[in-house]
Amino acid sequence: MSLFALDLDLASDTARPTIAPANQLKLAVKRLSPTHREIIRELSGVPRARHASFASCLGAAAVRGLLQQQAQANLDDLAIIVVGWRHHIPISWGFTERALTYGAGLVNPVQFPHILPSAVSTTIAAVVGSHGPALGVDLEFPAFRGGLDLAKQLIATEICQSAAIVSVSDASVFSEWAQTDSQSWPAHFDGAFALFVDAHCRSSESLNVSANAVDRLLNFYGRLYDGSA
Amino acid sequence: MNPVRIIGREAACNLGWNWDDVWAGLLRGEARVASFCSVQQPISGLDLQVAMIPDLDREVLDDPPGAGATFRLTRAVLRSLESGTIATKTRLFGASNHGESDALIELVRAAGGAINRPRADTLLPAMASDLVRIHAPEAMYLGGSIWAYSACSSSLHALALAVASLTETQGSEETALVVAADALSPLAVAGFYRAGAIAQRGCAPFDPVSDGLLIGEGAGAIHLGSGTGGSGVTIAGIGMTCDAGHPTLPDPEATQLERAIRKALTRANIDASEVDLVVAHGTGTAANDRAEAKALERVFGPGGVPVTSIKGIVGHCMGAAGLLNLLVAERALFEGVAPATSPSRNALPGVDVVLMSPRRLELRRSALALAAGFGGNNVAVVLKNAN
Repeated sequence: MSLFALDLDLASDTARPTIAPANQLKLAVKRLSPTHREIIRELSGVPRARHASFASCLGAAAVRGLLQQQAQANLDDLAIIVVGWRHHIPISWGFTERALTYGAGLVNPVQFPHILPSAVSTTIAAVVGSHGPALGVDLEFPAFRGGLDLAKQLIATEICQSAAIVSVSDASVFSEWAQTDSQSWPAHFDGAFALFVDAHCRSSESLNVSANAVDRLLNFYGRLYDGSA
Repeated sequence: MNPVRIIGREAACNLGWNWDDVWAGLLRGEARVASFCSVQQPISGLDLQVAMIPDLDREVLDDPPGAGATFRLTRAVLRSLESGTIATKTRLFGASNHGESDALIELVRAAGGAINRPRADTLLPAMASDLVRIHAPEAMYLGGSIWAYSACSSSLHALALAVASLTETQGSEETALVVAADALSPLAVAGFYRAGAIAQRGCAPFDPVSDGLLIGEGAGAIHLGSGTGGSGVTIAGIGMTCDAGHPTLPDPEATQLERAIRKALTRANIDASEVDLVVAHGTGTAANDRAEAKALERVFGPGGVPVTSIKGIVGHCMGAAGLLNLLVAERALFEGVAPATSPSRNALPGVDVVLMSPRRLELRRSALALAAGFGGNNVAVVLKNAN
């Protein structure tokens, strides 16, 4: 089990966000500047990133960093599970405005796949080249723990050998609409974290360790947001 | 380990509001299409034929926010499921391609761009959970639905999550409801139109001259359990892969689709020669059908298994499409007949497509249902007939 997050310790506009183990995070900003958003897009490896949602770029950057630390990951059977949804709303909104203004003939076909709720997961899969299932899941209960349970079940039934569970938060104007992990990300907060699980951490004990690490991370974000961190 | 059985099912699409009507329409082979212009929608330039449900209320309600046509389709199939079967501990798994995105955006537009966060209990997953609670109050409903989003493969991913959950809770008498729905979305229609994927001459999956898909709308629901009952058809094996390539086009060599099919066969512990029908994704686009035909030919041999697709008749029902394929595969095994793909006489080489009229199945041991989605997801499900 490894939990990594985008480290947003950005002293200046030229500082580059990095991926760091969750226990070494030095988060210093809550919202990325336009310059840093561009850097994330570049870091993400997402082709034509300007037409993808920023959430896809955040997620791809986090998973790329995660997999650099996971030499044992078999990409042929790695599932991508993105918890929470509505990350597509900013792109859907832009697509809608253009369709309403200019008609169906002038919408951008490159943007089309990114208007779907599944776009974050499949974009990440394309960037890292993983061939297990790539899906977004929306859960009515704490989403990251739920995603962890789903990953455990998929691994136990040999649907996949390992999974990257991903949570992202895009602080754009539409972030109020994004249904990310309930009770986790504060609104208007840029961030991403990703957890790698495989058959070695199927036991309840390992999963509890993972879930507790996630809780600690979310608590850290929450305190940061409150100004108490 | 007990096999996961199908113990209840329902569907709605352009052929009717219940599964028996839909099945009868599939056997008749009559595509019911209408102009998308007849649907009140705000995007110009969409003078296209679609497989629409004529009497579906498309008005977006703001109470509860986001309650649009997809919610109404979800409600229709959940209400129609035999309530008597939902009498045990039940979990709900949902799926959609675009969910209520159109409804949410319409609400923002109507509010002049004001953006208010929807309350969690008025979102589609929570509303669907409430429907189950109301519909089957006697059930020990294990609240908290799980929704899967993987474009047009969403419903079979939701099915896989349900089967994995039931496998983990073997012996607990737990059951699972899987529901999937997508109403016609002006955004999706505009996107497919702009991508040049919509049929101009009529949708005929696996016909070499078919030039695109027919967009449809619909919903499906199934109730799964690991005990007794149902049609005797079981979910025997599931394979899931992702091309991880182009955002909209499938891998032309269908390497990962082939892998998904072989994984499903292996998990079902059967040989390809024991599959008596494939209900294919079969969209009618050259890119999909040619790739799918290659994978099927490699797994089953040239013309090695009857292949059918329902999308020329009911249209591409997006997130619900996979579940509708699964229901067709189950009914075909039960009744021993496969609906025809289209009135066409021609099919791509290498695949034995059921054409012109329904075909009797000499054997009905097992069937394969397929779904694929934007971003390259592939799901293959093997059904076994215990009868």
